[in-house]
Amino acid sequence: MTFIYALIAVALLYSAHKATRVKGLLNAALWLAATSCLTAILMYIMGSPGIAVIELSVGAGLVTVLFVFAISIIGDEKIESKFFIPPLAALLMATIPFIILAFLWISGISPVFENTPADILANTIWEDRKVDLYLQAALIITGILGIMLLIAPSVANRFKKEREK
Amino acid sequence: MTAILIALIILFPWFGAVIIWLMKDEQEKLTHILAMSFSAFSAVLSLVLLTRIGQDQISAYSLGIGMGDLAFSADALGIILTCIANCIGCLAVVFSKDYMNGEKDLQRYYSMILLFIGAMSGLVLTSNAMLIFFFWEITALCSYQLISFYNDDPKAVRGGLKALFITQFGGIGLLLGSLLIFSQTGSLDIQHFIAAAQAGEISSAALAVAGFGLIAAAAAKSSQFPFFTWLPDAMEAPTPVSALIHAATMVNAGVYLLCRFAPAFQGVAGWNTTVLWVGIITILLSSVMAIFANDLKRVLAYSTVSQLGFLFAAIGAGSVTASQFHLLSHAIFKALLFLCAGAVIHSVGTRDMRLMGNLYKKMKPVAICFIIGACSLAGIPIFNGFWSKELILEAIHSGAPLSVYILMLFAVILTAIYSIRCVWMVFFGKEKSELHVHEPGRFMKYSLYVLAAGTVVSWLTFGGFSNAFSKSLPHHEIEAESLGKFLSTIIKDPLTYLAIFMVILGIVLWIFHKPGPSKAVLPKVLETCAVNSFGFEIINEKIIDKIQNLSEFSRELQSGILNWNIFGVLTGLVLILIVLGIGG
Amino acid sequence: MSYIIVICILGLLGIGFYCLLITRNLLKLVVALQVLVKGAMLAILFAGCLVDNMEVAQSMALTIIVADTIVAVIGLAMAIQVRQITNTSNIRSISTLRK
Repeated sequence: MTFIYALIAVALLYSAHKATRVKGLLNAALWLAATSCLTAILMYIMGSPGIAVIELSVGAGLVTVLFVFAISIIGDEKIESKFFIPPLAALLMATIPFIILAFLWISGISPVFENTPADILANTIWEDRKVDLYLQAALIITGILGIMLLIAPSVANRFKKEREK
Repeated sequence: MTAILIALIILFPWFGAVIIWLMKDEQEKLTHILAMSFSAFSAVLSLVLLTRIGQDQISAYSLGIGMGDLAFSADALGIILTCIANCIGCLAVVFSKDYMNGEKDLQRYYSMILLFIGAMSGLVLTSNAMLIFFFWEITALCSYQLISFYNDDPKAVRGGLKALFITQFGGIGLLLGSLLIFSQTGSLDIQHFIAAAQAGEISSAALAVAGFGLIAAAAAKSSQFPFFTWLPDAMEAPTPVSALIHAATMVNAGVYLLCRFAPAFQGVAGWNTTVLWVGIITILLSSVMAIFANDLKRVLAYSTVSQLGFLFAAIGAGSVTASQFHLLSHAIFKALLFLCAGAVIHSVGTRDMRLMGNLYKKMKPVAICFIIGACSLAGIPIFNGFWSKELILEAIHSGAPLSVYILMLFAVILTAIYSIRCVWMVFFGKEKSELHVHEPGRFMKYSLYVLAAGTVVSWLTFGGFSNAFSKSLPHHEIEAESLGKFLSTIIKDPLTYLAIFMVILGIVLWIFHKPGPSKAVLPKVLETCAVNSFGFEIINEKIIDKIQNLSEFSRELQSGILNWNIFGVLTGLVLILIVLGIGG
Repeated sequence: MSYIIVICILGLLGIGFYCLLITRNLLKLVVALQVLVKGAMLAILFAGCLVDNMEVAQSMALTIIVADTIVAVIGLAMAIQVRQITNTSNIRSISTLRK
């Protein structure tokens, strides 16, 4: 069992690495979807199947669609300017804190992963964390505005072309 | 029922604010009428709420763990301030009908006033420490917006920013206090916190930090020593706003906060003494400044600061009733004084008292109202200021050292001097310049008459007042006292006559030296100090300079490139982790 | 088992931060943020397991998913707008703080 988990972890890290480093944005979006799928599997293993399903549908589904949509509008671009931060310094900076974190963590705590009954989760969400729900509602409205912003230029361009005809 | 009433009192003015914001520039008359009707309706609602004083808490809605409940309580402390805010707010809006006639941006003006009224009601009615902070910040925002209402005047903008910064400093104290309350009791409920503090369940160190944080918050909001410099500069606001926000309501929020939390901090060593001395120092400094100021509104601002000092001193001496009763009187007579001053300024076109004089004959009704207010301010018998000030003096005599009482008597003399000086310079004496005076408008007079009547009779409510306090505030341990008993105590007490003598002494002193206003009464050195705000203005300037330099310096760190920002974030993370690693 | 998850969390955070440190493409930025947030989400669920308070952790994870998606939407929309206005997706192009 542990072997399979290790395999998932390796695959997750590999796809995350690929998503951030691969050339071509479309590839990056696909690798990101893979990362999302693997994260969802990990979540399932950690005992939260509900969240895993949402992550799968939103993270791997919706976000990928949005990415592909955005890339189809503006296309890919190679950026030639120099790095602002020397890559070596960046690598050090991105690893040091997490190595320290790993060292701080090593104390051998190993929690038990078990499923939470769905009604307890629902109770928590609807009763104890109402503010979160309001926040989510506000965020979703923001998201709708964002999507309007996303499609606005293409619509504008189409109108422009029609007028020119 | 009470819950619905409270929700209406908070939300109705806000709804009005939104509606008025949507008005167009051409609909000036409609804007006035809408503002008046919204504020009048809220005032009526607040008066209805007065009948529902009780000690139960109304928990309307739970916001989940860590946020507390959307809880309100209908106790006397909150409801009386709600009434003051709504009724004086209504009168200020009615007054504005004439005062702001023909001004631009009326929508912004009225929206902010209505937003303020709703937020002030929420601030005093809620029993959730975090919600207090929320409403507190809304009132600060409205105050800033209204001080800087004439936003093409750099002085107004500067005054607004100054008020905002200093009250924000107080906001930090309040936030600190609220968070400590939450960390110590696991709930944001104030009653629960007070009960826990009285039972000794909270560590004394945390209680002390919370207590002094709240003093800082209250001192900044109520413009007390050492934060008193913002209120005089806030006088750039339109006068009805000064009357409403900077005399009757918002500046009382600090006093309210201390009254609300006072029972919890009785066990904290030095808490009462600090409040007392903050009050006394403020009274003395600001009274002296009021004696030397020449701007009519600034004189009133300094007198507000010093009267708020009386309220602080009363809390410090342990009498919440005295403090709240004087708060009621002060709100009424100071709003009256400010609105009269507004009428004078509106008619004369200047705020400089040296240019006024002999206005009594030209605007008799306003002058009489102003004199009533000034008499109340000075503490002349029959007017409400006299009774409540006597109550405070009595509380201080019984609850504080004798030296403090003597200082208070001295403060009474100073109050009398600046009141008579102000009245004399504006309404009597020689006419100093050819000023074109025109009659104040109808609506202005109406609000003045209502307030003047209030100044004369509001002390009659004492019986109901103290009864409501003793019934609805179980933690404060207040004894109810009937009006008759209260009057007989004051009339029989020889110290009352001492205080009246002091008032007369002040007036006589001033009249005796009249032509050179007050210069002979107090030494010249004091005048130089007072005009320069005893050096606090310079300290403010220096702090602002330092902050500005620091910002200029740290601006260099902002490259505007995201990669470097992330680099900074990670550096911070490394530092935190190193600290954690060493600490753990 | 828990070691594997901790390594995943730290790895995702490291990869995300590294990409944020060196990327100059606005769209890549959104990818990096997504990776980073997945690490954070796993960390929160893991913390929930540690203190045996899974419900709260899960509801927070839900909020994070929503917030993260909206951030992606806004980020992509911004990238598109910036591209239309400046004809490039270089993050340098939107920095006007210092010229």
